Amino acid sequence: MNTPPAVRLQAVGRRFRRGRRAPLRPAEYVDALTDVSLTIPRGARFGVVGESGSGKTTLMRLIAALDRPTSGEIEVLGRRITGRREQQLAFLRRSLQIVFQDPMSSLDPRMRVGDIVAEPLQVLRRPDVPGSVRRALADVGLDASAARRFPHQFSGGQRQRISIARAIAPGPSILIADEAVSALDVTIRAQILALIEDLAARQELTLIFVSHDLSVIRRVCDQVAVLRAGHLLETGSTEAIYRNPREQYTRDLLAAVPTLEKSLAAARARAAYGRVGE
Amino acid sequence: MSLSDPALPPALPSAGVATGGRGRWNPLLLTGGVIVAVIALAAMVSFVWTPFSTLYTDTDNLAVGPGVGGHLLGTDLRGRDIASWLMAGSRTTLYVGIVAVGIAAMVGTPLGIVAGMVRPAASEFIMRVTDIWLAFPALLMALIFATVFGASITSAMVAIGIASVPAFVRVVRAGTIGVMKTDFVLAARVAGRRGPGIAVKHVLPNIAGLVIVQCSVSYAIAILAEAALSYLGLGAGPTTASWGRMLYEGQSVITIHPLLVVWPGVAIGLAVLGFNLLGDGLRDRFDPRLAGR
Amino acid sequence: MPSDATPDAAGNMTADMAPDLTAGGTAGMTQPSRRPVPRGLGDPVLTVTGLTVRAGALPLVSDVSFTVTRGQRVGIIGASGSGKTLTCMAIAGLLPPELTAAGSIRLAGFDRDMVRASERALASVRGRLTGMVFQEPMTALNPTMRVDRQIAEAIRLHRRCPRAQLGTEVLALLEAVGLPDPPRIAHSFPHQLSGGQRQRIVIAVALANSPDLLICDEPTTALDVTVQARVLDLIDERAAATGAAVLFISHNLAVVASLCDYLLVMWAGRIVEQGPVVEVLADPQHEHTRQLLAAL
Repeated sequence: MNTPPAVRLQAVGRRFRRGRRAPLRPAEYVDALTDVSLTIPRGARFGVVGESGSGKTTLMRLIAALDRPTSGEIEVLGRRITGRREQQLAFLRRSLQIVFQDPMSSLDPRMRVGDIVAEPLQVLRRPDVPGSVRRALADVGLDASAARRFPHQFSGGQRQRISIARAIAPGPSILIADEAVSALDVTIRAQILALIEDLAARQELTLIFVSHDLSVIRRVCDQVAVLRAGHLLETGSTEAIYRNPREQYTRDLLAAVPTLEKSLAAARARAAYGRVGE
Repeated sequence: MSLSDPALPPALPSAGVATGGRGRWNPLLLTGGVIVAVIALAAMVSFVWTPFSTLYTDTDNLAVGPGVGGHLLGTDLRGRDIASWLMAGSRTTLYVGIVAVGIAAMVGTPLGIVAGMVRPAASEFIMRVTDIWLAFPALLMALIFATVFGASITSAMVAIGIASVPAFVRVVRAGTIGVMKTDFVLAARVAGRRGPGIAVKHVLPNIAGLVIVQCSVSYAIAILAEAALSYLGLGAGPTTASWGRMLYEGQSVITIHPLLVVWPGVAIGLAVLGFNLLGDGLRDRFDPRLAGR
Repeated sequence: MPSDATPDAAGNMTADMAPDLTAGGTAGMTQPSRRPVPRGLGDPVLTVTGLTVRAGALPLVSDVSFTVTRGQRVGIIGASGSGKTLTCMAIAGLLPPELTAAGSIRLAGFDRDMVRASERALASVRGRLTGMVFQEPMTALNPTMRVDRQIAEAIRLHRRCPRAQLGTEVLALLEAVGLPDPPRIAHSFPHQLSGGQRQRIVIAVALANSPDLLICDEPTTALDVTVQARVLDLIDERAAATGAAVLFISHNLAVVASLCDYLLVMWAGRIVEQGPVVEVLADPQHEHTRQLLAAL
């Protein structure tokens, strides 16, 4: 059975030109991504981990054809997307949607929620837009009356739900979550993650989860790729990476995540070490 | 204690509290609307009736004060009734607004949006053309128009309108660039929307506030420009009622008959104020975040 | 504080890849070189009594009372909307004018009640008796001023310091917060530095006049995870070295617990639970605290 992978990258690089510092000096470049090759199988829960400057945002944009690589090839669902014009990418727009990080700026403040969720449906000329909008809102746990209101009337977590509704309404097969919970409170994060997982299972989505937060990735993903300064450092199953990271950087990342066990141990040590608590 | 949604704050003060109740019928909109309505009313009425004909010169009552000889606000140096001229002049004022600012907005806004959405190289090119446009003196343009098409209020207005375009292009381009950087435009692109669709559905509504404010600013400049042009003979002729014309005819005798300048000056000031307030009010009225709902 | 500085692709120095992180270490772990500072049973540095903040008639913070003693680390934890940031703003004297505060906030060394003090009086306190570290390092520094000028400004506002000595003090502060190559950093503009570096500078500014109370409002939330750990370590170390008390606000229990001795849990504008960190985390009494624990 040879179903093509959801996403395949081959030796992908993205270089940005920066302005010259002086008229006679050559222009400088920044390599946001260098020689990245990876394969994301269909139906996978794939995590991309990296800190600021790692290139994970650039990678996401390249996969979604919001940007073009300066080298390499990208295939989505078996079809090449590099070197194609926007008109030839209709299949991509139908199959791939993104949930963005910032609940404040990812929804047009001038549009009502119903119109926001309906937008991809309208562009893709789907039938029964109002029905799909209602279903999408229900799927994310929002009441149908939300459609008439504006984004600023909702909390951060609710806005992310609206973002998710917009992403799943057209029935994509690939969902990219770009730091989808990073801007939310820890208490809300669990809810939104559970929602994303649930939807991914029910609608058989390939989930690509981009984040700098390892604990989040661990909860949701079964495969992980670690990016650092534009290079793919290592990739493998989540358990393998967590139990036995090959790279020192990955070890550092894992060590730096604050957990309750560590914090409690630290607190107890402080209390015992002569520091008198109140 | 209900703990169903711990993150939902019990109630946040809406923007209405903090901004003094700006919203549907805010004070700006009302005040501005009333002033503009009064001017519009005066203009309408002046088509059918003014206390005296604007062409009538009361030679017995030259430059008299208010109340003399049946003239509510007095007369000017040639005996023309000031009140009548104010009413008729309001037509010119409104005309100025519609034509000049209309041209500037209709041409400048699309140009600015295009400049904000195309590749940097093309955007720079448009901006340099705009800079040259900006540098071209409005007065010179009016002179050219007057020579080619004959001096009239319309030719003056078209000239001023064209001269006001660069201001719109700059402001709109800046706003467009800001909107294009947002995630919701990215989301629209992911959905498959292309340039023109994004411009209409996302950019325009989000820069509308900027455009309205720029209209108010350009309007004020346009009125004063019309006054100057009329004085130079490039705009309203000696028999066409215009507040600007009144202003300049009276400025030579300002120390002897100050009221000749005060009446049109106050009228111009009120008109500019009214349109500014109206612009601000409209901008706030259509911003869903300030609606205080 | 060791820091491995490597230039990133843009040629900027980023001191954020630490080779010295051990698998169990975050702030506060036993380090033989640090002297334990006895604290907790000291005189109060901050006493808040019955603080209530309203927007018109709507109460956003209700009846908050707590004390911070010299050198103590107090954490305030709660979700967005719990009132923790407003409490912190009230203590810093930075409440927006449309909000009204009632109750009492007394700071050691300031004879007036901060709730009713004038802006001039509050300005003399901020930066001198209290230092503030905000969340967003990108906007906390003036982009048009070099780093040395910004730190110098903080010093000169409250102390008399001769020109010559100012330069040395600035460099000493930069070194104390673990920045590599202080002369170069001092001469840089904020946009030339990374988020972690900027936050260290913000901490340097906050500690410039050795305040008695360091107020931190989500200082590490906007930073990468590896940088977070090091900045927390830095706050811990600097506070211990200068004897400053710390008021640390966050929505992340693990972060707060790794630094603080005493914990206040806020919800809907009220303190719903408080106590020593170990007790609150081991045996939470209130439903909301349990929810916060479960979210980790």
